[in-house]
Amino acid sequence: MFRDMTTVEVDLCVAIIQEYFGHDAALVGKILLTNMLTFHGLIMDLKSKLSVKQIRRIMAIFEHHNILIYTASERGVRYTIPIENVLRILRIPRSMVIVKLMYGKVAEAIFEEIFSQGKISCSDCIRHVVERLQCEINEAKAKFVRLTESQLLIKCPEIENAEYDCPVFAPLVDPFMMPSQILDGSDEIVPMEENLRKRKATIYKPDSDANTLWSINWPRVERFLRDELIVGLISQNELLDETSVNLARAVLKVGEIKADLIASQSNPIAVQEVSKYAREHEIKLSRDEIEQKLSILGKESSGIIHYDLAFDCICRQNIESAIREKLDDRSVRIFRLLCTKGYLEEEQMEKLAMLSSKEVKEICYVLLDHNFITIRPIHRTNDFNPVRCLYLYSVQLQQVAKSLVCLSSKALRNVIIRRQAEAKHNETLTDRQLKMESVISNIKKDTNMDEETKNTQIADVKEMYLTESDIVKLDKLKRAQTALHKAALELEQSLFIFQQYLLFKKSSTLQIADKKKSRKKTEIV
Amino acid sequence: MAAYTALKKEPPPLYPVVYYCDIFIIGFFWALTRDPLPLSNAKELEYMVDITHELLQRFHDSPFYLEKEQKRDFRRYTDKYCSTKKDEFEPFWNRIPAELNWKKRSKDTKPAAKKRRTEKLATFTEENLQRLEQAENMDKSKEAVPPEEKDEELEDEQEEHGIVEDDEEAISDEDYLEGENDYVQTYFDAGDDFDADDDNIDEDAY
Repeated sequence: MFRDMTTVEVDLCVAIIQEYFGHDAALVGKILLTNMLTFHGLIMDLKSKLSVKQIRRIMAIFEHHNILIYTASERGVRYTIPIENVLRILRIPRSMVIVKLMYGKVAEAIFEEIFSQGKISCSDCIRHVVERLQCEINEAKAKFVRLTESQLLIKCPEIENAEYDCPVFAPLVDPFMMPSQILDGSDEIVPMEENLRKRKATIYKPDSDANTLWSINWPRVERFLRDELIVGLISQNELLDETSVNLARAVLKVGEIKADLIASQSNPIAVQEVSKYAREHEIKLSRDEIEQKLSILGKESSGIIHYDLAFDCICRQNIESAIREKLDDRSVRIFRLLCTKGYLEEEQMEKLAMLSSKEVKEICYVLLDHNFITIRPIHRTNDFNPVRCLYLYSVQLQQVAKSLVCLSSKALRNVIIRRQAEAKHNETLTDRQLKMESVISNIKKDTNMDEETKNTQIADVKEMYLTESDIVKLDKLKRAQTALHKAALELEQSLFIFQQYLLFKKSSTLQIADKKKSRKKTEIV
Repeated sequence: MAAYTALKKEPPPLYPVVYYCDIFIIGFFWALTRDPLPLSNAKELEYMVDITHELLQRFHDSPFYLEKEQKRDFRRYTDKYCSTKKDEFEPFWNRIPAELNWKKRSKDTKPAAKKRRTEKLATFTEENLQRLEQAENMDKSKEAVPPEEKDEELEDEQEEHGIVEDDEEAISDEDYLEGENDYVQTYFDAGDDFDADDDNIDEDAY
């Protein structure tokens, strides 16, 4: 489990934990991200910095938010935090936008509620959302049902055996089934038995579903994110209009229901299914039109969606844009050339790219510096004479993706820390602004004075609290914060793309290895 | 083309940058050779920024976030008014391993056991009295019921309770304590041989 991580990714996760859960949690998180420890081991590491009660509390918070995982072993219960669980926190804004586009504002609020509470029962969630948005209970219920139908929410495993120190969870039987009774808890006081001590507080009647907890089904959310990326890729093709893009989206949705969540290729999809889906979702196209558009989209693919090829393309595009930003257009030309042709020498590149040999050399060396291409020396003679040595350039996409994962993690971490630092630096200023605003709102609420005196008072307050230069500074700070947030979101997108690409590659290599094994077995047999 | 020929002469200068969060991080970074592209103004992106801002605010207000306690040199009057009150975090206790439970304490069973013991005894004696009453009534009404059986039953039950009683009244250190006398608990009687070992110590003999 720890082989795929890098120090850079761990540092990024520590920064994320610090931002969302506080400094102490970051200390605990740092140790748990890199090790699988027993509780005792953790206390030994953190003896000097935190008290045992604080550590317990932080670990309970992590477990509540599905960040911490534990397994029972002979030496006791061992805890660790997988990196993926922490990085998911960054993907929330994008997934919320997708949920809003597909299911509406109330569904988005439900999604947010479940995420920020970690685990929550259906009734509690609906209650909070109704309180927050002031919407109808029935609407909230309906949206919750929609979200469970689309499998974006999943039930937490039930407890089978609570006698041992570590709870034993039963396997999920109906992970997406709505509970039959919800919201029947009320303020009635349950009559207590007389044996209980008098100090216990009055017990309110709980909901029937208080024990079924829901949380976010991340594999499905990641699937949604991937589909959006693929639709983005398709819509870049200018020959397709909006209806075709919507149709592509429909095809992807149909494929979603059929295939595994991490399949590199979907099962073949028939035109009938697409037209059925289109009818259900009010895409007004006749059967013939659908057939026509589908044939434009993918004539020879016979209905199979190739996720891995799509991600190959997206990944390549991202790398090219990275090169274009760091270096220049000609480097992109060379990179593309190498991607298509494979192994090339400098002279061949000169001819194909139509650049002078000096330029080609420079570009190749710069690309090598940044680890975008690799060089492979091939010796023609046995004595390793450098004159007779051939240098072949090529692009190893997996290597490049890995190095870019590191780079984007580093950049993301820097952005997060910079944003926090800026906010802290200007803390006094922002506090003053808050105070000023609360004073102004108090003045406005005051009914004793008339409009004119209010306005003069407000003007006075504004003058007193913040000078011109302060206002300029605050404005600059706000713009800087938005810019840093945007940068973080874009970086997170790139990180996601590279990670998904590497995942697809890994699964395809595993598939090839399996095939080889089975072939060997049949040969032996 | 021009950019490359300019760079070839010497590497770009290093700029020291100071980042500070909780600790000062001083890093030396290469200056960028090209200006970065501007960030997009897409509405979606701005909406996502709003969402992140809201989420962060929510987390910071919730009981999940712990502010680092800043030790100031002097106490301020506003300290007790500034700190916001947050709800206490209550996890689902049955979903986490028992060792993470900071509320239940497994060491304090003695006082509870004592209470249970006295309760049990009280109920036992009550039950016994009730049973004896019932037995009397039964004797009066039905002489056919053999009292021996009853006695045996009673004896068995008493034995059970007695055994339980014995276990509950296991010998503890407290039994050795005698109350209400003048003996000091920490009195240590050394005997005559305590100071006999020091041969060459020059003590002032008073």
